[in-house]
Amino acid sequence: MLSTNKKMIWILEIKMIILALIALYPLLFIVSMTFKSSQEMALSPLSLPSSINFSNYAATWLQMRFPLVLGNTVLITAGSVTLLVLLGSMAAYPLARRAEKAYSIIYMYFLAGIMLPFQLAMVPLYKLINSMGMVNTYYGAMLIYTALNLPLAIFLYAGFLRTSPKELEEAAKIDGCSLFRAFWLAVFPIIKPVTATVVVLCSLNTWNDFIVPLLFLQDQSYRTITIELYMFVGEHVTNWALLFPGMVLSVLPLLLVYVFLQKYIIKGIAAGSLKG
Amino acid sequence: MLKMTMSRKEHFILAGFLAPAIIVYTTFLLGPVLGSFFYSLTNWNGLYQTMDFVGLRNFVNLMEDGVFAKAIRNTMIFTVFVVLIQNAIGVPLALAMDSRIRSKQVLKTLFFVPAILSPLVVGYTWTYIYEPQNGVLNTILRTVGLTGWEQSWLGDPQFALYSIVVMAVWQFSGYSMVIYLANLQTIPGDLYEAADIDGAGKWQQFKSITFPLLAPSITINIVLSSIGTLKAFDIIYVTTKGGPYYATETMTTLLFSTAFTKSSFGYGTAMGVVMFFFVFIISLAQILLLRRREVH
Repeated sequence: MLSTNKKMIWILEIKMIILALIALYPLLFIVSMTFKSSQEMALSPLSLPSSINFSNYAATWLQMRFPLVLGNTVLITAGSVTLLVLLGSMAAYPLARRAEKAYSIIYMYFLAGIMLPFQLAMVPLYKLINSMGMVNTYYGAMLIYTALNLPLAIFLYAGFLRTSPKELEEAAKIDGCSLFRAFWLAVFPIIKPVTATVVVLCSLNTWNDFIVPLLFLQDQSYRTITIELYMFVGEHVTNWALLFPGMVLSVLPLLLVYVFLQKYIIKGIAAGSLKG
Repeated sequence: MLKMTMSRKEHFILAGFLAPAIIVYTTFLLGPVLGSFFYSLTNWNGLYQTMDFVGLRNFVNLMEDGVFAKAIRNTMIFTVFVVLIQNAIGVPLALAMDSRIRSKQVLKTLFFVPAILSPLVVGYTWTYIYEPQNGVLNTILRTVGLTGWEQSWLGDPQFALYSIVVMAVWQFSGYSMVIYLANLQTIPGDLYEAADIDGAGKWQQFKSITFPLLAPSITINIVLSSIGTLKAFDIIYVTTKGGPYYATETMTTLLFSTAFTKSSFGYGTAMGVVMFFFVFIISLAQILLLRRREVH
């Protein structure tokens, strides 16, 4: 009995490893292509590269102005997510704690944003951003991303806060703390797990987004990784020798972060989704 | 009396907690959206200052617009297929990751990788896989002798939409898995032990223990993937732009091209308004139906 059980686990293990290889094959394929010359790509697309040659990467690195666009992406993502955590957690607090009708109406007002297609906002938003002189500015993009992600952040924060105890903040208030101080001292530390979820989900959304930079960050010196890659494809349509390394470079920073933090990222996503 | 002023003061402070979020959200998202609701009642082209108020004419025209009908159909097909397949893969993957296999930590991490990629990179990767001449898929088919199965996957109206379904499923099945897995780990093990003693088989156990107790994650997974798929735009825009012959045209791509490429902004936003109600009604219906299942 035991041995058949063990055998079944082994079979499952092997099946899953094969499945994972198939699932990751498209990515492994792209990586293998980056080391090939254009000729080798056309003649033997499926075989492993004949030599490990980084010259495609060097060319792409320069043409994509990689350090600049990476810096832009990091700055915009970090700024947006910081603003989002500050505004989102503070707003969720009264929405989760107060039962009055006004608060639940405001909560629904935020939640409506989850279902809105962003395309619906684009033209009026462009007019607005333009008239405020915020096209091609970092803070313009940050404010847009904050607004876009606020519904999700508030949903997650409020869901968590409703189930978490109030004793600490009551104690802080009795000790004479202002509500504002009580929030930062007694509430914000408790909701750290959701903050992790919000940071992960919204960093991914922001880092990978391509519509906002397409509309608002067209200027050479403000482009993010995705829009640079998109422009790059526009200019080099058939030149896969430059495109493949461009794709790998655009994914690499996120992949490295993922490799180091995968435990927290996966936990954060699962926790946030099930609590909310 | 004192209590009353206290609570009024507290409301005042709480309003301060809410104000920054409300201002940013209203200015940069909801305000513009409401602006679009207004523009959907006009014939504005998005560029000039002039526009006429046309009442509900855009919506009347939409009802007779064959392309829009096709876009709704495509959106529904796309959503139903992606949501069903993604969840049908997510549950067994999660079960496998919850079993006693040794490599599960590594495998879990690997299965999730596609979910962190941008739709742009996913789109370009699969464009090359589907490429008719040197593409991976056709090359493999040729190598194993299935020459007759070769297709222009994204270029043939018959296959294009389903080819994109595969891309979306590939990207997000790992995401569903993670949510199911977290739910599975909350199911107490002694339930299964008791079932074992009662002589229930594995399938019986899945049917009467696992599946009912997975209800919360089924709700969240179906709602999340439905909203995400209904709103999907980048993944289609970078691969087919809605073509060939509207075969992959969804509500979002049609909205985008109508409003921006064809400069019929009023008409395009009317599509967006219809789409908003679609998403709203579908997700509300799902939440109500699935939540009811959870209670029982």
